[in-house]
Amino acid sequence: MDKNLNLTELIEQAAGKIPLLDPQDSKDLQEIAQVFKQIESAIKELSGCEEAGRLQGETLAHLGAEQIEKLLQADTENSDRILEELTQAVSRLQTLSQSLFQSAPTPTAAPAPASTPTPAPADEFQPITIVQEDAPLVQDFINESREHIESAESALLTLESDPTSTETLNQIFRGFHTIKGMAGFLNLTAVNRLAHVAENLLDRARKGTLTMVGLAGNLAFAAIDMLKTMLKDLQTGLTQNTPVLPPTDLTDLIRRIQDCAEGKTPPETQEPLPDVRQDVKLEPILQPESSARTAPAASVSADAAGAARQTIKVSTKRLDDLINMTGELAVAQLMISEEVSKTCHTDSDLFRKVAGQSKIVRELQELSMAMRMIPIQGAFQKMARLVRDLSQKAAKPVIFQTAGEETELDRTIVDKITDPLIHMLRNSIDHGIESPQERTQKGKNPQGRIRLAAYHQAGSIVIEIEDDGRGLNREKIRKKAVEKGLVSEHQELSEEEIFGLIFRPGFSTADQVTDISGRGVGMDVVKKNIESLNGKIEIRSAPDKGTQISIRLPLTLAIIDGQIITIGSQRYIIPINAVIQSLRPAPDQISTIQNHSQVVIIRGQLHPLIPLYKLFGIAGAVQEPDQALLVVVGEGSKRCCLQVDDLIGQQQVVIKSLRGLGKIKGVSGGAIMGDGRISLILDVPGLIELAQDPAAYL
Amino acid sequence: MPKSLMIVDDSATMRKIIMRTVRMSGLEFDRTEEAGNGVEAIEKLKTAPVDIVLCDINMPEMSGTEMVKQARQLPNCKDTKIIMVSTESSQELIDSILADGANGYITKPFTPERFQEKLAPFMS
Repeated sequence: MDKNLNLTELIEQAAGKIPLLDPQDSKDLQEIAQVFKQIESAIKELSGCEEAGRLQGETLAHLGAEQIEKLLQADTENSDRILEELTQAVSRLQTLSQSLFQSAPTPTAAPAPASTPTPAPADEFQPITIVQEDAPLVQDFINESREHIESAESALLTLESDPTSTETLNQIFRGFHTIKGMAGFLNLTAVNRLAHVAENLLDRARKGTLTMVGLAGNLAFAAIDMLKTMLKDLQTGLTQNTPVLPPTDLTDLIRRIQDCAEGKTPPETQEPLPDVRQDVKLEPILQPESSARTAPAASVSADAAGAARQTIKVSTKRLDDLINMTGELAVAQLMISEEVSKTCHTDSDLFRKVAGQSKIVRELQELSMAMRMIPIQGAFQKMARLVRDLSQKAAKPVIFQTAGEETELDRTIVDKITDPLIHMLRNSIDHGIESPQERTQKGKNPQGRIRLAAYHQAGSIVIEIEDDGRGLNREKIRKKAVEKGLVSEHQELSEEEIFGLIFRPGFSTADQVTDISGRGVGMDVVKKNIESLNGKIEIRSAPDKGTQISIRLPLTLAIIDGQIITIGSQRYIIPINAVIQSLRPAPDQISTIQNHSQVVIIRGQLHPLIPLYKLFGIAGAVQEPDQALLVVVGEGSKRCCLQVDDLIGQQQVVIKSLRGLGKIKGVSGGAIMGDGRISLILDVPGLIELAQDPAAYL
Repeated sequence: MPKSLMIVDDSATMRKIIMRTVRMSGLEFDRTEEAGNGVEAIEKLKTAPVDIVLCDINMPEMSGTEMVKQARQLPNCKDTKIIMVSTESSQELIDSILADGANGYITKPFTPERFQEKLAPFMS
């Protein structure tokens, strides 16, 4: 302990001297060099403390002494920089010395068993501040560790169905191992320790003395979650240049992992759901699925490791700028070719050249769009993890299958689809899947089945969530809706309408709020999210057979297929997927109701009529509905008729947001047309809402 | 005489850390290469041999132990010095890798001094 005191004193001495140091004064310099040398030898003499920390301390002190030597050799050019580095070195030594003392065993403590190389547990980790010179490396560390963690997590999920696969165990081990090594060098003691114990745990599994199921598996997942949190904190600390505090429950987790790796855990808690896993193994259908899930994950990690220079990371901002510019280019190109076809139609050579250029620009645009596309795999992996955790929590064993993880869609869509998916999977496990007892009584497999699939269909992406649970209870939904005043008691409702009720705000059939779902955020939020992505959601369900929810999403948010319409001299764009039909109405199809608003009767159904020329205040437009064209838009039972002058054609347009104007009901964005003029894109759900309140536009 | 160096490690960050430590050790190289695993390293060595290779052991695709064996089969790597850099520290493993043709062994965590000590003999 005397030595420790001595070391602390020495470091304090150095810390006190450096700010007053005169780089020209050789006597001063020699003194402080002496202090650094003493620090170095004091650290060398420390026994029983963490080896990595000791080496770092030694190196720091040694380098400090060397820097001063440089100053002594009259390297005055860099003296400011050197002084700065010395200050940093001392502050790192200060932090380090505290953790060194904590990891050094006290004389009364039992000696660590020789067989475990694990350093003695540090009870608390010190907040760390990332020194400027390390910042780029720490950033690399964060990025790379995220990849390791992701691939370890997906490997852990694979392990659930095949807990002894050596290759999978190795992959996870390597992830922890690499993180441990890097963290050690970067003085990230807390990360280093956690990765170290997790590595030990995996090492035991690799050697076959421990199986990664039950507690051990859960602890590995917990380690991954903890690492994610710590990396996030580290990133914040790095960006904001603030100290990084270790998570409060870190010490406890490290201890639990360590106990488990050393086999100290009470046996009864080791296997909370033994029957589940055996069943998983027996289920033949899971095999191809799980191997399908592993394959891309493994290749990802190999890529990340080996192809260091085959891929580069580009910020999404740059990518968006590129897409925007290509969009602009396409528009500019379109203007030129329109001009050429109008004025230079005799010059066939020019015509051909312009056509060739158009083709290249179109391909360029497609290519730039493709750059934003990422496979949905990442989101699916998150879901696999979620289902695993939730099914354990709810004690409802579930076989989770995924298909089509390679399906690519716009990055923004993938990001935004995660929350709705989480919500729906929660519902499935909490309300859909029955307890194993109930399932057995019904003659079903005691394990529930949830399937998540993605595929292309007719220019859209479809994501399906399917469970084999109890299905939606029509009567219960109806009763609830009546209670909530959403429908009247005697209202006739089709099946589609009943299922549609669960998307209404404030609707929740859960009898009890559970830990998993029923927190008041309902399917209405899910629907809103999907609609904000220009997507559609549909439910099919059969009692005791299960529920299937399918979400149809556009490939990208940057381009839509639009129907161009005219009103007076103005042109507008209606998203094609909202258009149901267009018609020229007979006078008797149109009737005026009490508040002067009009409705159109199409095949016996009433549709509110929105005269767009009135809404947008356009002069010179056709005013009589029976002289105009009507476009029926909407979906399901929510429809309305838009009164327009004419339909011009269909075209893909690049969506530009109307930044700075806020949200305008009825208009969702703008687009630059071939002639350089701007057209507004109509917001159909907004228009339908407006139709409920005709006073707004009459 | 100017020397060339190759760092083989599956972690890009670790490669940078090694590179920095080499620089801190005061050793200078006129050319440095990197490889993410044994396969990549062997491919590169075939076309552009280096004087010194610093090589990790536990890597995907091809481990460091296998890489040493294969590198020793390459005619243009006869004089290449291969130094293993790894956390594995069992004497048995070190001996077997040295027997396979490695020229030295540095255990992680390492210091600039250690690099200086182990590499300096090959620098002249």
